[in-house]
Amino acid sequence: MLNGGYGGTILRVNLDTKEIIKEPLDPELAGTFIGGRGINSWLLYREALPHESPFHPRNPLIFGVGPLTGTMLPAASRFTVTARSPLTYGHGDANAGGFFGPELKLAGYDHIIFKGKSSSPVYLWIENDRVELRDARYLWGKDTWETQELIRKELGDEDIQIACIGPAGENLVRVACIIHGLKRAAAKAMGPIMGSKNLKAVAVRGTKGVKVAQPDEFFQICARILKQYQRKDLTLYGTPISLFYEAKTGCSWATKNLQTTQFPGIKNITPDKFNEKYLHRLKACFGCSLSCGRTYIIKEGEFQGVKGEGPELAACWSWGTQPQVDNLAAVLKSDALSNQMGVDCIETGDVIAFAMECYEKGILSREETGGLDLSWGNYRAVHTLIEQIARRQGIGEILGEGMRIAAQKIGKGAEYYCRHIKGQSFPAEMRGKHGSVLGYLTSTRGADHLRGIAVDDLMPIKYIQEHFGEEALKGEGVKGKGKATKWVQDMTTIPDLFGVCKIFYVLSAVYTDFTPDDFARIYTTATGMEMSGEELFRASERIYNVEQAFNVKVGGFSRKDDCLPDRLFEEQVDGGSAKGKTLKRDAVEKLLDEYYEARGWNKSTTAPSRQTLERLGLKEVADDLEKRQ
Amino acid sequence: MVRKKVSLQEGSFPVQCSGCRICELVCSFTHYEIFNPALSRIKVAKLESELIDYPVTCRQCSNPPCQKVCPTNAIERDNPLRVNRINEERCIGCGECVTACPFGAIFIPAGKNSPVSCDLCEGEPKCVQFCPMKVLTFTSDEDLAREKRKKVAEAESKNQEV
Repeated sequence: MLNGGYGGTILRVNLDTKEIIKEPLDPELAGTFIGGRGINSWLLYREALPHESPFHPRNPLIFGVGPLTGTMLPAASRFTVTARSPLTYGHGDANAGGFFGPELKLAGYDHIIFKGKSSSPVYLWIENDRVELRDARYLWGKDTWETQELIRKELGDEDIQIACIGPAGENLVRVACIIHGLKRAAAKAMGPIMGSKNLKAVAVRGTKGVKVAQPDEFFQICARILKQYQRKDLTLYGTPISLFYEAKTGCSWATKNLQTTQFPGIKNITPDKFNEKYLHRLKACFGCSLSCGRTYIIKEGEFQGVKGEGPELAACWSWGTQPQVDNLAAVLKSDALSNQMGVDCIETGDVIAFAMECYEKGILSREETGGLDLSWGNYRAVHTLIEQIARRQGIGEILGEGMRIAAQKIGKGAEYYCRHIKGQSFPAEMRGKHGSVLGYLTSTRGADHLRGIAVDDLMPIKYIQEHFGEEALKGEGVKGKGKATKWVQDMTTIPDLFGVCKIFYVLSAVYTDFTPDDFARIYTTATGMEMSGEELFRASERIYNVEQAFNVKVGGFSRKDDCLPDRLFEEQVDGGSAKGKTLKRDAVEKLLDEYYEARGWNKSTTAPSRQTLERLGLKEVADDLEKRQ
Repeated sequence: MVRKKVSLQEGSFPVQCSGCRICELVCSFTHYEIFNPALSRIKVAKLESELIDYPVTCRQCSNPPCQKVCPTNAIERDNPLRVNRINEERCIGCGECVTACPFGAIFIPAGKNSPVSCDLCEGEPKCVQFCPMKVLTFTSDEDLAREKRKKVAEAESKNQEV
């Protein structure tokens, strides 16, 4: 019985026939996969067409929130979007905060499954029980900010929350994302999937509320977290706070497409400079006491009038350190523009830095760039490229395909400068950091810093020491790293299942203090469903295995795909704490061996073994994988 | 008795409303044991494109227009805190009070028949207790004015030192 937390309803929207069906959420499904990313991943595994392109109309696009989303549990603001990724061709999902997820829950829904392709652009409008598809032809071509404003105007309600695509998603640009609000982005190539279905936006207004099963205890837990877990420094500087550490050494972890660490200009874009010149106001997501967001307005100079929300650390890397732009106003312009166009700042910034290196190395000529001077630091070229990528114009046509496909199309040795894992690029340095290496390599959605969140810097030290040994904590340690990575991945999956913010739970150190039992207690008090820490941890593991099974079955991945660019093995880091480091192939292989063993996956196919799957109650997945072989 | 109210007192960054809506969550939970911003008596007005978040709740007017326009005398303030209590038997749900309030602080929640407004949680407003940015205060106009006078005096004394 679902007594709280959950909305209790799954929406199925058929964009071919315009049919909308409401299904009750099965309590057994909820208990097994918890919610959010978990149920989304299972639905994708069950309902995706294994042999068809990610853009095939009958492939599903799934929105989901967790059982805690919309409650007062701090930072319960998250929604997950899941589909087969057109960048990796395997499992794809992306997660964003803001106010859209809670609003969907307040309207009474846990998940929305879109299938089919509308004959003309539409958007979905949900007002509590009323759900309808509406004409979006007048919105097609509009940027994400305009789109949201126009929908609110059309429907006459300022409190409507909207997730939408910009021109980039419409044009099936692979580096496109879904944008909610001014900057909340669900990236990982989910934007073009929406575009491929002619679905411009999802607009929600919910006034039903979220009940919890054991209100008194639940409220006490929320109150305790709100009181005990603060990060004043993050409230003051946001996630770009990391730039301070980089600026101290004059070295960046992400500059010039990772060919160097040297970027003295970094001191001009640190968050104190931002606060001094452009800061407007604080900006939190729903129910978050940390408030790592902020808004900005540029009041004078070349970019006078530019305003927006952000930039996060990744955007500072993409628009600042990577292309070596030390003009903070220009960085903010890129940030605002990428959000309006609906391109993922990480993937887009990465592919632009890659193009700049190709230009530097003479692989891309000025003729091929359409006359654009892609020299490092040329922020005007960055702005032009963001627009060209979103609109598939000029060189943007190729770059918008993501780094892997772009490198293939450019040829002439460009592949060497291309940094991706399974088609998904990565922005930061990992030489000398074996935790990151393993976390990025074994993430189920391609290179990603959030699956095994920053295993090097943010590990719960005491737990790792006790359970996996001293070496697991060392940057270049090997022994224990695989086991520790698995543990961190499973622990940090819990926020994704709950529909709460991982940043809050990791950076405020809740996850170093809270055991799986504590998280299970949150779940039980909210939903009324019995859950032990062990069971909850197993649910995380189950979901990781479902995603991996999808990657093997549909993505066709095996051990050869868990690989890094040659460059990281051949070139040394030229400065900073990792100076002189390269990666060693045998060490990486050892790391992977221990990891697969800890996971119970086959060391050559990376498929979860029957024994592992059956232990997790996934017998039908084991049968499925066997049939395939 | 001194009339107190919930009001927004921002300082320099980051002592600002962050728009997190925790006040709405705790208000709806305190009154209805449900998390539902639609039922909250304090609401964060959001103007997204203007980059503004601004919490609004009852100002506890000394000469309340909502009470004055009520055709059935359903708004009672004859209680120690002098807060609005809606007599639901007398209230006809006409919404005149909503029209009269200059702040939008009294309203009829979706699915309900009678209006609601801030009741100060029996003198211990939960929104103030839980505001993570500490920008909501529970204070009287007299205290507010006194604080401001102090600040003026402080500034003045510094000027003299220079």
